[in-house]
Amino acid sequence: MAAVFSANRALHRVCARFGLQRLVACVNFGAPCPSNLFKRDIHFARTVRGRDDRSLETQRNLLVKSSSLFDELAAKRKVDKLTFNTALELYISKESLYRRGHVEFIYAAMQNMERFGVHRDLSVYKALLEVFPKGKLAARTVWQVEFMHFPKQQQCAIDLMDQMEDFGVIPDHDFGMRLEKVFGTDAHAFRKYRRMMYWMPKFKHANPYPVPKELPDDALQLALLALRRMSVDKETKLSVWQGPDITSETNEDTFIASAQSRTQQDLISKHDPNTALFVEGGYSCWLRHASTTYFILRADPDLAALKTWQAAEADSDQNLFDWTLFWENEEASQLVPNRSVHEQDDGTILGMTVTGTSTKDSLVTWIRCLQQANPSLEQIPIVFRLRTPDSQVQVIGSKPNDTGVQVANNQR
Amino acid sequence: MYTRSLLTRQLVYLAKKSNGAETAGFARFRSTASADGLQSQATSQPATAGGDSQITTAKDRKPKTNAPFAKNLFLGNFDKEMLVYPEIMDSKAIDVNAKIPEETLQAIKELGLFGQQIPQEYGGLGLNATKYARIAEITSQDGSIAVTLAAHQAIGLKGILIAGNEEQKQKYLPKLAVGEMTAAFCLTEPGSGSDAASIQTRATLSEDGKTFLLNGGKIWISNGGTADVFTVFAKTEVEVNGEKKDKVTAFIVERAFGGVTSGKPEDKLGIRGSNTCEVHFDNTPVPVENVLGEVGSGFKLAMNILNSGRFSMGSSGAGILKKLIGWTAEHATTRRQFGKHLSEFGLIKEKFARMAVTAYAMESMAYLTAGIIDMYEEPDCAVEAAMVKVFSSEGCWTCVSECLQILGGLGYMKEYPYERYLRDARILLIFEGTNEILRLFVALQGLQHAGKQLKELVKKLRNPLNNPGLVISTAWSRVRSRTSGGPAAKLRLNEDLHPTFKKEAMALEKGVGQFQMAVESVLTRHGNKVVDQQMELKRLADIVMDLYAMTSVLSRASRSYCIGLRNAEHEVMLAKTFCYEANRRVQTNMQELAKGSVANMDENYQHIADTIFKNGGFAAEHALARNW
Repeated sequence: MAAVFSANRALHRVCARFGLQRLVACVNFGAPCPSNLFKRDIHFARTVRGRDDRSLETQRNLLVKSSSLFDELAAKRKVDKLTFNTALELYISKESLYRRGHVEFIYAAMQNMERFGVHRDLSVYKALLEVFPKGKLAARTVWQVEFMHFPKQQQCAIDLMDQMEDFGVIPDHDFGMRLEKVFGTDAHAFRKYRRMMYWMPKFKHANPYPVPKELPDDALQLALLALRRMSVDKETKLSVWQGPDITSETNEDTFIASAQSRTQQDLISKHDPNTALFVEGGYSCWLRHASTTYFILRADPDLAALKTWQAAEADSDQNLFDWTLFWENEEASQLVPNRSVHEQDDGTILGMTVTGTSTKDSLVTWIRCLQQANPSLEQIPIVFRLRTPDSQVQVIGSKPNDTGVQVANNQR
Repeated sequence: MYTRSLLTRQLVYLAKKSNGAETAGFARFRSTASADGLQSQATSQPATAGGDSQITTAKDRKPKTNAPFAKNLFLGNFDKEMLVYPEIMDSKAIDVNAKIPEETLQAIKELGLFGQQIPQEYGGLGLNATKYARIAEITSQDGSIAVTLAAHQAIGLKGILIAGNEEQKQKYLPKLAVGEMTAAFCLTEPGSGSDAASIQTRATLSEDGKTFLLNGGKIWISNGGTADVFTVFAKTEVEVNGEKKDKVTAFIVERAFGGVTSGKPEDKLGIRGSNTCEVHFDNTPVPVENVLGEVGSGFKLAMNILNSGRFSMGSSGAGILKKLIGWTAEHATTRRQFGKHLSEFGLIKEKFARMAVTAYAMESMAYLTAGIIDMYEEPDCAVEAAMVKVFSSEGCWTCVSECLQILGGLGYMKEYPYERYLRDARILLIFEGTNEILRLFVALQGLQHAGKQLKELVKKLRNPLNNPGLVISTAWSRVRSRTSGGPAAKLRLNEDLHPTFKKEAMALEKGVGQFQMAVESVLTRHGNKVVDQQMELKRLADIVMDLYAMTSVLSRASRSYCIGLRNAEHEVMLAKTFCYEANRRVQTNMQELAKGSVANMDENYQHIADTIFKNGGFAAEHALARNW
């Protein structure tokens, strides 16, 4: 019996988690699974069992009413945290006795949080917990605990905490106290809270290269952030040239952000003036939802030096202990090649840039600006190999493309 | 009986030497004054076929060079001659020197101390290494005077002494000897401290090929503001095999040449009396005659100069420590706390004992090295000198700190000289080659020497699949020696020391054997890449430093006990205490080496340091940080 109960509970929980109440019903009654079971119902914990159309309609109406409250407030007042809190207070003051439709209200509030910009605010989530009626939802017997007392409300709280998890908001002790007052310490919802409190702090600093949550709107700041992230060399200096008419030919009003380190400047000064340098680009760098397009200044790899590095790195016992040590080595160590992080097998990266307009003119201006710190760039020929970020991508469709060549496709 | 056998052995060597036979060992006992009675014995030795053999003095017929002691330790070869402590040349002169009191710079010049190592024909005192070390003990009473003198003669004019031709010597040495002109050594630049090959100062040859034009700047030059003669190192263009290269050349530059400017004296933590400043050369014309040695040979000359002055730090450190121990002991025996004199408390006694032991070891090492230098034309003891410098600088710093500690609050006050000595002692770990660089130097020189002999063996050991038999037999012999408590004692060092040192001799011997195995395993483990394993090299250097210190201490104590010097039993106790502690350090270092870089935390150090650099500072979150 206990095994059946626990299996049932587990299944109930899994299905409730994914909103698959209809599957639960089928499981309980042994009915065959209809095909539309796996469509997830939007934010709706809807138990089919024992519900009639009238109560479903009531639920739908309550949801519409709650949503409309938020829409009205958004239309009338400024869309911010104060307005959102006002909405909560309005509801509580109106439903001060019975808190009718509080689940629907909370779902509506959750849907509107991003609109009001409070989706990352812990205090708002705590205020939402206050919407639940107190003292009614907590389980009092073991059986109630097992069978998810007030499943709709608990599921609502679980969905609330899910949204917190999605946005990376870590609850605190105070949140737990409020949750406990509402559901008690044994509830499924509280267990979710405990799991969050265990895992989320552990993962908070796990990313060694974190992107800030609030990304700047300004393109220049984004560009600097992207360049700083991409620069491996700690000595990299970011320079910005800005202003109207900065480019020579088309007179654009744009900025040019450039990243270059001292090692790269040394490499440029040692570069043979007869060999060309390439400005390659249209690569994109993503920071969460924002992408910046960057270009690099690249030189072809020095094959002779590559071979010496590979020979040096290879563990060769041929000339064992045949050293010239630092007190016998008369040549300065900077002449002895020590491969820097910029010298890769496919080329040497000598600089990176992000411009506001990403046009060829801005890149030409960039090279001119670089010449201030790298005077030898004036003698070196520069070749521009520019592409837009998505020009290399070939869309594979079901029709042959214009050139008459059949392109392979996997989707039939 | 033991003493006689020791002396007889020395005389046999002496006789063989005067016979003209080339021996690998060297005679240590060569005093004319105090060995009258033994002279006849020498002639009566059957080995001397030559009849009336003159006992040679060190001045004429010095053997060319010695077998390098420390480098051979890396191969497990212990030169037993080291256990015979050198006898001082002329004890009467030593007494006279010991009476020289502290005086001002002029008085010092009048004493001729500005030309201690300049030969007498140029007006200097013509002292050898041992006497120079002895005087350094006294001049170290004041750190600033010591550094001024050292900057002048140990490095400033050493270049002229080593590599100067006759005209240069005649021109400069007489004036430098009496202190009419002061010398300075100009190598360091803002961009090149330890890395001497990367200097940027340039000397370009003029059209007529008779002058070099010197351009550049040097920093932290001792005596920079007061010196008239500078030994400057600059890069010159030299043709090597048809290819133009930049090589370092040494020049004697006089301030009178023009274009030489010195900045204001630097405000330093210690040795504040010594003048340290920047020196700039702006198109200074240097005649071609003032090139020291050959054009392009400056780097080696710089290394030789720096290597030759190091050993005296041992005796100067010991000198100042002995004085400080005296003052501190006086304080400890008079000051009363808790109803007792400080000297009755165990912790205070331990401090004094440690200081005495360290000073004894420093002194022994310094004079042993000085003795070797005096014995040979071109002595090969750069490694030994480096070890003396490292040991003495660190010993001095910790012991002066302890003296200050014993005095408590009084030591911290400026009224008392302890804080000044502490500040002065701090520079010892930095100049004349930083201790870190010297540790690498000691380890790598020894490994290079050992590597030449072990090349074939190591190649085979690093290729186990092709040489299974050799690898297995080597591993088996190592396991056997580890379980039987170390390698078999074959050297029998106890036979060259007084029997009271039997245990210490055994420890030293075992240490040498284990060290040789450790060297082999380090070379096998890393091959050519051992040059980059600095943490392992540091452990090797520490081990060989302790072994050399043990050797010098045992050799000196054995001699003292044998010939019956005053307080010889005290010396025996100092020696035994030092050997115990040194042996403990040696064993710890060996175990850490054997454990490998993961278990001995080397890998952890690397990771921690890398994280700190990535984070730009201390990387752990604050102790009070919250996560939610």
